[in-house]
Amino acid sequence: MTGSRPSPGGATRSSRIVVGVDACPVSWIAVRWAATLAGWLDADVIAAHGLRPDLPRADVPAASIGAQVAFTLERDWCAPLRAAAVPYRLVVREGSPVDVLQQVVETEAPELVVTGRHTGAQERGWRSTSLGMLASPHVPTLVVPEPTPEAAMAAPLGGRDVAVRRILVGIDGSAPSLRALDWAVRLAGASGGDIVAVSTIEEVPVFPLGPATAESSEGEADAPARAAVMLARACAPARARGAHVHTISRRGPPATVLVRMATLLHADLVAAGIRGLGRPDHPTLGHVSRRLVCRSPRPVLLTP
Amino acid sequence: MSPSARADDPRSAAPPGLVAPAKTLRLLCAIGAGVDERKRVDLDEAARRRMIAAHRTVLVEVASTLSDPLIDELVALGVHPLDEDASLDELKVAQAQLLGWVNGAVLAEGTVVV
Repeated sequence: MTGSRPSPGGATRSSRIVVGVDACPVSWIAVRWAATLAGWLDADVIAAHGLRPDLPRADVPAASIGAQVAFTLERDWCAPLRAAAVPYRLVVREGSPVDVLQQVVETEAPELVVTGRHTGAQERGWRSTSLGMLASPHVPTLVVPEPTPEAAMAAPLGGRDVAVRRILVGIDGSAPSLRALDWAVRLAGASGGDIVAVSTIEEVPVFPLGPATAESSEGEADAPARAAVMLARACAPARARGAHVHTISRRGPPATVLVRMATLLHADLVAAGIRGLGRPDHPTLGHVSRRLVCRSPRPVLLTP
Repeated sequence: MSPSARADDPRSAAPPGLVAPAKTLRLLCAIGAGVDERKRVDLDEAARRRMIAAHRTVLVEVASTLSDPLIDELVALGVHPLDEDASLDELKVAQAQLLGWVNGAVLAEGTVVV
């Protein structure tokens, strides 16, 4: 079941963004992000919705419910896409949101996925769509957190476009983190914002000797200098492309440092790579990525 | 460890102090010079924009010199980067707030060292 608004003049855009939609405030914000990014990236948008098979339906036929949902999503929740004159298509399928979103990603091969994160979804017994999408990270995924009531009031329906004045990027020298920086440069170039590149030096106590071992480990004293050099090298291509990049090296847990810095510096977006060192239930989602997604009050872009 | 070696080494600071006191001191001087210059001349639109951009940059550099508790303190005080369309009065308030706070942080660090 689909609805669509074709490209102006029938032209096909060069890339594609898939965004998960439902009738929640965070979905509205995710759609606004998708609309803004589609404008910057010259992309089409596919809005995907999964009809939860576990929801109560009384005696209403599934097809009727699907039609009603598609009508409502098209009329109300795709409004930012229409307002931004972005070509889009709505896809509504029966299945869990994660499964439907993954199916759409498989068939449409988008450049970017945008999804909202419901606070406490797992506590309510739902499969987290954002964590589920990041568990098989074939494409960069932007996770938009549920807005606070104050933020929701400040960005009412029909509000202005998303603004990206500052992007904070976690850099550890890995290929995924460099791809995150590359995305930051693209988005900052389109929005006119600047970039704060942060490298963190994580102190990992060596079992069983404890924290004192970290202080006496060979090479530990030079870790900040090495991190600064790595950061400067990583950011050199971005600066050569004209991006305005600040660099910060700090000690501490990476996710905590990134969230703290993003809060102080009012970053509109936090970007990082997925290194794939995760738990058995989400094997490709590392602990830094998981903590960032779960703790950041700001949108997080994770790149594989 | 010598004071000079301690100055810009991010690992050497003990919370809740400054991570790089020498750099913080340099930034304090830069912020103070900016405030003096703003008082001395009438800012045209280009100068206002440039000073706002400088404030955004300085805040990033200041953040790089602070320990985690001090960053949390700055956040709690509501110190934040200015938007591009901030007014001249907003710029004055933000500069004064940052200058005063950094000055106090440097003084406190000196007091602790002494």
